[in-house]
This record gives sequence, structure tokens and C-alpha cells, in this order.
Amino acid sequence: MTTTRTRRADLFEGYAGLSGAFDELFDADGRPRREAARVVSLLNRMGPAEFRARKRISDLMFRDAGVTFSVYSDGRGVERIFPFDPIPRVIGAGAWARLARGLEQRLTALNLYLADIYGPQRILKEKLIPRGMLEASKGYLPQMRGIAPPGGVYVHVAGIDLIRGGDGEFVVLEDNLRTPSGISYVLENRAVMKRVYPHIFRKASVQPVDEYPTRLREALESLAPADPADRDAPRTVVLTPGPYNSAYFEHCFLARRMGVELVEAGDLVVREDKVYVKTTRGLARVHVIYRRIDDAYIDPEVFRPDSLLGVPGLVRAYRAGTVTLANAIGNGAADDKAIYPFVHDMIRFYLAEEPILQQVGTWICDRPDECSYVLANLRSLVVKSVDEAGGYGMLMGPQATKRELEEFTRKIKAHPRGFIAQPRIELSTCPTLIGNEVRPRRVDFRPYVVTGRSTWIVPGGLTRTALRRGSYVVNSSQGGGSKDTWVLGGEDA
Amino acid sequence: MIARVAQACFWLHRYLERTENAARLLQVNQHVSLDLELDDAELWQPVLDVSGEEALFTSLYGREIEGEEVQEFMTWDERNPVSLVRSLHHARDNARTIRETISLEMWQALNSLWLWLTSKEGRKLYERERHLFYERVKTGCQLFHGLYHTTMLFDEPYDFMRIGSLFERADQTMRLLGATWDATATPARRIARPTDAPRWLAALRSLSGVEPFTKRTRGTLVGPAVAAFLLYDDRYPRAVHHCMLRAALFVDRARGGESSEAGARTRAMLEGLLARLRTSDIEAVIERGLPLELAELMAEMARLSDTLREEFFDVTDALPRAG
Repeated sequence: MTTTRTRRADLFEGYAGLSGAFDELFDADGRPRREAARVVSLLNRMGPAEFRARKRISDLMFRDAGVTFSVYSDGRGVERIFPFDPIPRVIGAGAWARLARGLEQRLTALNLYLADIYGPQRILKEKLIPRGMLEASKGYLPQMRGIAPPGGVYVHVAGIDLIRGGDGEFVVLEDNLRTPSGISYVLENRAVMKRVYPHIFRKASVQPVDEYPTRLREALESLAPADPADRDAPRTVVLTPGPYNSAYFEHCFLARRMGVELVEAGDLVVREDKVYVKTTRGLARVHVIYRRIDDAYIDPEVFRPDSLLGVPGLVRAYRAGTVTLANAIGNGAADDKAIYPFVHDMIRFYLAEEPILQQVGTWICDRPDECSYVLANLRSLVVKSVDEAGGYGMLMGPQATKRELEEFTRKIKAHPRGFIAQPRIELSTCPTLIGNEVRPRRVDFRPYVVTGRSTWIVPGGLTRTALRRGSYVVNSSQGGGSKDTWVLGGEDA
Repeated sequence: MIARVAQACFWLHRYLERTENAARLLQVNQHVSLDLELDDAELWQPVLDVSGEEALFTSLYGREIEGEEVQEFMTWDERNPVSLVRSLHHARDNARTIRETISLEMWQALNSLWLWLTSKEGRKLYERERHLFYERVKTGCQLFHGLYHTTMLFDEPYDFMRIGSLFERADQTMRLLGATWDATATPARRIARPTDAPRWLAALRSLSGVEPFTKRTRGTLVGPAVAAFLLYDDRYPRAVHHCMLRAALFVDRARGGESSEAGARTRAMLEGLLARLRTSDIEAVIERGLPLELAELMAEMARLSDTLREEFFDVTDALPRAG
């Protein structure tokens, strides 16, 4: 470093990671990692004052664009801005290629698993997964047996939650195979980064994520039912629960970027086992529905007769093969937290391959011996309710109070099927702008996998970051933020 | 297009037009007091008349009309269904349900205006420099309008937005005309008072109509001349006749052409209204009573709005015919 440079402080000057945690940009000796070196030097060259000034511009851009999610307190949704941290996470081309292969393998197996349990149920007959385990899953919908979705695709869009342990290896924490959200933030974060830090961006050779909406539309329409009578076929819509849903911003964003219409359940009707949308000139046929409504609310004829949200008859149309639903109904049977421990077995069973991606060792409280281990070691474990998401219904053993530990002991004993336990994994950290300082904050990662006639993985994903010191909780509903994820192009793939 | 979305397009623009009109009216009324010796009640009564919410005002603020209270009621009071803040709130709510339909720039313009209005900044400017405050609201609305002409596809959503703006604009013009008429010439006394001309001038000013009036009529600033201009002119953008002529154009587009069967009743009603506006004679109308004419026209507009809703927004479940 030259003397003129040191007169102005570097952005990362004095930055130190957390001991025991893998840092995304710096190694244990405080040197930039090889894949991140260029980005770190570009950021350093800008200087902290300039960087912070630009951060304020990005905050305004998010506010004006109304990039929000809704939080519910006392029954009223409040729109909040998803806090954004402008220091990117960097993933080298080689690490990405390995990760992408692992994701594709995992999704292929999960999709085959769904086709199996809603079809011949070989995996149950071979006793790899106990029948009771499947049938106890809330996400398993026996009404769906015997319905083959177009192309055999169940999981059109998957969001796989990953973390990086102390050794830097990616580990699957959770599969989201129903209506994973967050992709809009990936695209918005990228758009803002490009506008606020164009000169850095230009030199960093980052792989683009912008094609996601068109790739998704192509994938879904490749599976559309044929309708030669309709000039406008296939007509694709995005189905939203409405403006009060926490992910409504994303539903709008996707419809707009895919160039399709956003509909609510009330806009759709089923006649003679075909789905129609109400237009200003009467009814028009719909062929593909990217639905962001939960299974339970999708069709009151089949699931919740009390629901006003759904489209009566939609499942009839689906069964008749006149409409493609993405994702398929009943995927919850595969991303259940109690089914998660079996995914490696699925990969071996269906693909006869060894799993590429690691996953976290899990104790299933439904098994008596594992349950007693969990109860005896509660203080060192993370306990999760299998039916809840968003960081709710979770016990962080090492940080829990005595009362919380007692409460969970009681809950687990009362309903062992409802819980799993995992060792606490050290989440990796990434430098994050906190006030005027750059500090290590823990992050996770959610890449998105799109499957139509073939599978495509967007080179990037959602990096969520805890903003509180020492926190492991990255969920937006609980004060987490996000940052852009830069997958670099290059030769070392 | 999707019927629900069409309806939201229509209402988004109605509410935004209403917001802008409230800002125009309140801004101009400030200045009338500089030209005229009027007490608070005389000055602000017509504003309440335009709003149609005088009863609510009285129940909330009492019988006595104070200028500050009327402005508070018409600008900030969320309990008032036609207050500026409430209209903008409705506009934004409608926009929020159709964010995939309106352009990104339109959403940003509307959202920034809303965030500013409801922030401390908005209130501060209102307290300190009221003229500028209303100017800021107006320019916010105008930015949105400009963006909609330059960033939206010239397509069905655009048509319903235009129809919404035009219906609301015609309605506002009639309300303002009626209120000014009441505040000036009473049937008992046909001789103009010294305050009449400034009131008509203020009315025209809040409709950006002073210069167009001069160019189109070369008439003196008296009630009948202004009434004829605001109702029957076919080129002035806020005249009822002009608004309906334009609306007919966009209704035809939304119907998919003049010969289309869709929206036939809406079109026929609009044709009837246009014929009435084209052939009316202001002297005869005043003879019979301008308030009566306005009441009938506004009732006609309300029926037209209902018919539009029935034909385009409340879709029946009839299956499309084959072919």
C-alpha cells in the first residue's frame, strides 16, 4: 500500500472476523480471499466516506421504489423496507459451479420423491422412509395421489436455504419447495447496486441475474397444456392472495417482469373443468398459474370449505390436465423438517449417486431414542418446530433461558412428531456496514432453482444478514437485512 | 384485461384527479381573501359546498365556519372522505393493487408524493408556506400524469385511467360551478355584486381556466358566460362537454371498437349526455334554473358510472362463445 493511499482510510481498515466463523471476504489472517480480492480492493479504493454517502442514496432508492414486505402486528399489515447492506457477498466461479451441481442433484431427487409418494410409493415399500412419518406430515395431501403434473414436474421453483460452517463448506439447512419468496429482493438489490456503484460493478465481472423472470416464464410455459383453439395460448398468470400478503410486492414484481397478469382468486372461475379469468370483455382461458397461495387455500372444494381465498374447482381442472400449477399441490410432503433428514437417502435411492451437498445432522424427536438424546442435551442444540418457518417456534439452546428450556421440554414430550433438533452451526460472516463501521455479521444464503423441461439455477441468490451483533437470526420478519450476492464469472470453474 | 384491474385503474385516476383538484381549490381560495373583503364564512363556505361534506364538517368542527378549520378538514382530516390526504391514500391503495400494471415511474412518483405528504416535512411546509405546500401536491400529481402519458402502454389500462380522470374532472367542474353560482347570483337578485367577478375569476383560476376563457369567449366575467364555458366548450380540457367527448373516445377503445357489443349501454348513455351538452342553450338553462340542470347532469354522470361498472367491472360467468 502506498503512503498516499493510507492518508485516506480504507473501508475495511481494522476489520476483524469472528473467531470460529468463516468470513466470506477475508481469511483467518485478515487477508482478502482470493476470489474476493478484486472486489475488496475496488471497495477500498472508493473510501469509507464516499461509500457511506452512496449507501444513503441506495436507502432512498429502496424507499421510493416501495420495495417492502409486510409485518403483522395487531392484525394490521405494516409495510416495511427490507434493510439493505451495500457490501456484496462474493462467490467464486469454482465454488459456484460445485454448489450448482449439488443443488441440481438435490432437486432432481426431491422431485422424484414427490412423484413417487403421489404415485407408486416405492420408497415406502422399500422402507427407506417409514409410512407413518410421511402420513403424519401436514404437507402430505393424499387427495393428490394419482394426479401426474405436466412433465412430471412438482418443484418448478425451489429456494434452498444454505449456510457455511467454519470450514467454508456450503451446508443445506432447509428446502423450500412450496412458494419460496425473496427472488424480487435479489433482482432489486442488484439493480440498486448497479446504479449506485456502477464503476465497481463494471470491473468486478459479476454474472447477471436479470434473466430470472423470463427464464421462469419460459420454464412454466414449456409445461403448458395444449390449447389449439386459443390464439393467445398459453396464457400465464401469477396468483396472489392480495395486497395484504407479506410477499405482495414480490408477486407484483414477478408478474410485471414476466409480462403476465397478476390475479387474485376472485378473478378466476372454473367452468367445465377449465380455468378462466374475468376480463373486461368476458371470460378468457388460463393455461398456467404461478400460484403464490398456500395449498390449504387454493380450492375450497378440496381443502378448506370455509376459505374465501381459493378458486372452487381448481383441483378438478388440474386433475383434468387443463391447467399447469406451479408449484404442484402437495410439495409440503418433501420440505417438511422431519423429512429433511432423509434427503441424502433419496439421492442414493433415486439417483444411485453420492450427495454432493452436505446437510445438517438431525435428531428426529419422533424416534424415542433420539428424543431422549435431545431432551438430555437441549442446552447445546437448536430445536425447530417442523410446522413453522420464519425463525418462529425455534429454541436456540445455548442462548435460551431456563424457562424457555422448560417450555420446550414440555412441548417436545407432548408432541414429539412436531420437533427436530440440530447442533448449532456456526454461520459464516460477511463484512457489513453498521453505522459508520464495517463489522462482521452472520449471513445465510438462498439460491433459486427453476425447473421446466430442464433445470436452471440463477447465478446469485438471496443473502440474508443478521444486523444485530452476535445474532444468528437473519429473518426479515425479525430484523434481518439482505445484501447482493456476486457470483463471479471466470476461468476457474 | 382483468376486470378488477380495470376498476382499480379507473379509481386510481379518479382519486388522483380529486387530490389535485382539492389542492387547486384550496390554493386558489387562499388568495381570494387578498382581493376581497370577505369574512371567513363567506370565503370558505363555497369550498365546503364543492366538497359536499358540509354536514360532516359541522358535526366535527361545529357550526361556525373558520378558515383554518376548513383547510384542516379538507387537507388532512382522514375522517373526511374527500379530504386531500384521504383521496391520495385511496389513490395509492388502488395503485398498490395494480403495481404490475402501472409503470414503475408512476408508482415511484405517487409513492414519493404520499411519503412526503405524510411525513413531518409535508406538515411543516403546510404550516410555514401554504401556497407552496399545495403547489408541491399539484406538481406531484402532475408528474404522475405526465409519466402516465409517456410510460404506459397505449392499451386498455390506459383507457380506463383516462376514463376515470375525465369522469372525475367533469364532476369537479360541475361542483365548482354550482358552488360559485350559489355564492354569487341568487335567483332573487340578478344584479351582480362587487364580489362576483373576483369569485368567478377564482373559480376559473382553480381550473386553470382564466386564459382559455378569455381566448374562447372574449366575454366579460359574469356567471352565465362562465357557466356556458365550463359546461359546453368542446376544447377546454376541464369543460364537461370536452371531458365527455374524450371519454367517449376511450370508452370506444376499451370496447374494442365502435361496433363492438361490449359496453354498448355505456356508450349509448354517453351519446345521450353528449347530445344534451351539444344542444343546450345557456339562457334557457338558466331560465329553468342552473342548479337544477347541474343536479340532473350529475345524476346522469352517476348513472353512467354505474353502467360502466356493470358492463366492464362486474363480469358475469358466461362462457366465451366458440371461435
